[in-house]
Amino acid sequence: MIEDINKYLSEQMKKVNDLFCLIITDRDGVPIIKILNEKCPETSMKPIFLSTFSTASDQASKLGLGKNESILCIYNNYQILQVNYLPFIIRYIASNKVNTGHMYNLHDHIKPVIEELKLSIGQSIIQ
Amino acid sequence: METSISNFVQEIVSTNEGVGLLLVDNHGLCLSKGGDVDSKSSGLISAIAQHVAKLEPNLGPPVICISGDQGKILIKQGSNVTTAIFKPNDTPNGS
Repeated sequence: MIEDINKYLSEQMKKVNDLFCLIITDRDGVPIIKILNEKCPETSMKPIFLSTFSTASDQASKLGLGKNESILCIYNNYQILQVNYLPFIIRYIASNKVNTGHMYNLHDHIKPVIEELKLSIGQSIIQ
Repeated sequence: METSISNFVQEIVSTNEGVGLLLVDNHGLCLSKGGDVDSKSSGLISAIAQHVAKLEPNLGPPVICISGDQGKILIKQGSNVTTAIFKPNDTPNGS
């Protein structure tokens, strides 16, 4: 099943120009699915990068705007979109020139697949 | 600034019954919308405009018309803003 999801996600990823990688992790940053291309920065697979979002999202949830859903970070060379989709965290790493709206659209598009993944392995993560 | 854009969009939508209007920035994020339009389509609208503009890079950005059973979408990319007009088939001809 994971192979099928991998294949589907990598096909969908190609539709967004300048998107380098898509990583699905659990809330602690342990990778479950990772689809990378050669332009993906090495930093994106380091534990410090993968585990920081949970803390940032928890803090952002305290701003009085309700539960934090996603954080978009724009750097000189990269754009990083991290989405809270508990029990998963989904990360999109792209060039700074990427169409941000298209990246959000891709997320909406792949949600049903992530739901499937949630049903099959999400329960074991929650427990 | 936001109010003036919003007023402009509402004016267009109210004078053209049934028409939807979407304004999108260069990052594909929705600036303003009016009428029966889903703001989540902003990313796709902007991506379509950027892709089609590559067909004839020496010419200015074209007006794109996407026709379907239920209506038409007209897309025009400006320097900072992409405009999309959603026109259902049952709108009056003058709109």
